[in-house]
Amino acid sequence: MLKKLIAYDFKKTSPAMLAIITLLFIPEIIGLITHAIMEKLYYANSVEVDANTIQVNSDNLPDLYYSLSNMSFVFFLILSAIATIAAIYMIKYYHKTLYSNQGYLSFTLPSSITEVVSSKMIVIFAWAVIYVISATTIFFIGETIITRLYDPVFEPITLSAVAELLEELFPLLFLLFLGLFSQLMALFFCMSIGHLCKKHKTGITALSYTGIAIASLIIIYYNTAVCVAKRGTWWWDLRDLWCPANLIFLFILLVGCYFATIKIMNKKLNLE
Amino acid sequence: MSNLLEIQGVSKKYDKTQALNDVTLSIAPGHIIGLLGPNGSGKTTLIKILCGLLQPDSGTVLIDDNPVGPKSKAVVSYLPDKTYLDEDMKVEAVVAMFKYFYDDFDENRANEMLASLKIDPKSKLKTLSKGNKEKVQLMLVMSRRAKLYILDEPIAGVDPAARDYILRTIISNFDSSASLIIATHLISDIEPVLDEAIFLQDGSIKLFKSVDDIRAEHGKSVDELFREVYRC
Repeated sequence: MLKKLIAYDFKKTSPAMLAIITLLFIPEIIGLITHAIMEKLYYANSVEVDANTIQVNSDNLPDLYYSLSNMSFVFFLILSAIATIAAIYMIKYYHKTLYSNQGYLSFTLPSSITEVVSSKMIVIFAWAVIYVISATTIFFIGETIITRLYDPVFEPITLSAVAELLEELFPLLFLLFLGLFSQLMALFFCMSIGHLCKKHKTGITALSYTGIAIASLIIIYYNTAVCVAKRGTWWWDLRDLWCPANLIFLFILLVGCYFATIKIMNKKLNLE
Repeated sequence: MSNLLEIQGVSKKYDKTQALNDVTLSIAPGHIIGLLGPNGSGKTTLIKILCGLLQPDSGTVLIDDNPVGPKSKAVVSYLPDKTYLDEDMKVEAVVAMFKYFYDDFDENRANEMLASLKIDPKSKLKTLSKGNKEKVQLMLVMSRRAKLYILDEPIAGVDPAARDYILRTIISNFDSSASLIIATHLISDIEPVLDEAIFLQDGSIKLFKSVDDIRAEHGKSVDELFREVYRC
């Protein structure tokens, strides 16, 4: 029955999520076109020093270059807004199908409460992965094309270069997804806590999630600082985030909140 | 023949309120039972426990020899007292959803009932009147070939003509080997179809008798006895 639930939830959320992902492509493509124009302007004044080196006189860059550079912040805001819309839609779907009147249908289907709740979580995580991969794929393809077209010292991409890049990116992506999933799971847990309260359900949910989010930031910051100190330096980079303490913490948060949510839903479910 | 529903010593407390107090009852297949009582008597709490929407504090529930869970939910067809479907869905999509999840869902029967209600399957639920939404929900529930039907206030909030339609739909689509529990306080409308009546008060069963026995022993209709028992 879990497979059926997942298939149904996926199908139900597909129209909205595919529309959001399609919407995402518009500012991304416009942003890439803007970046292409900037690259063309930037390298228009370049002088080749030798086979692999060029010199660019940035004093002669036209005003259009700087205007487009300022616009990149706007694109970042638009992309953030679309990501927020996607997150709100999925969380609203989770809440509506489990905690509103639609919960009467969800929880009387011929399946366990664990399967019903897990199905929604799995589908939300799947869409998060699809969303991030779609966004980053368009970005990387676009940047590769732009670099190929306008960078005078562009080196053709080889398979080994791609493998090297993926090897470098994999820990970061893994950490990104683990962090995203653990925070989503923490939110689901907080929603189940809010559901237990008679009054101020939304407030209790928001308050408890704020507490967990702040605690998570403090723990991750502390773990990262310890990792940086071990390297004997003051400057941190991305590999410091990818330390065992952070991975263990995020994993425990993810698994702990999952089992706590399932336990609460199984023992204390009461739709008004 | 074993009982379809066995409830043993079920209790449920909300804070300081004892919603159900040591409820024990058995229901055999092929009966239409009225679950009667005033507001706050524990009807909806008991129904939620039977449907797996609530956990009892103590006691056991067996439906078709299964504890409340996926197997019992597969044989229970439940109509809550509120609109529980996604109103942005079309009627045909809701029918398809029921067919997808429930092996005992009879799509032909559902389509026949839709046709008799003159409801366009392509219309969205939110465009239907309140009465028609309730009829669609009832149609979905009665289109299942379940062993136990549980209807929570199926005729509250609808006009008398709609009530007659709902009762006719219930009776004409009810499988005689199944059992049907109707929770309501509109007893005079329901009484003609009942085999048995359960009177609930303050979370306890005050009475569980056949309608014929009630009339014979008390010389009153169920409605009249109800008014007497629950007089304010």
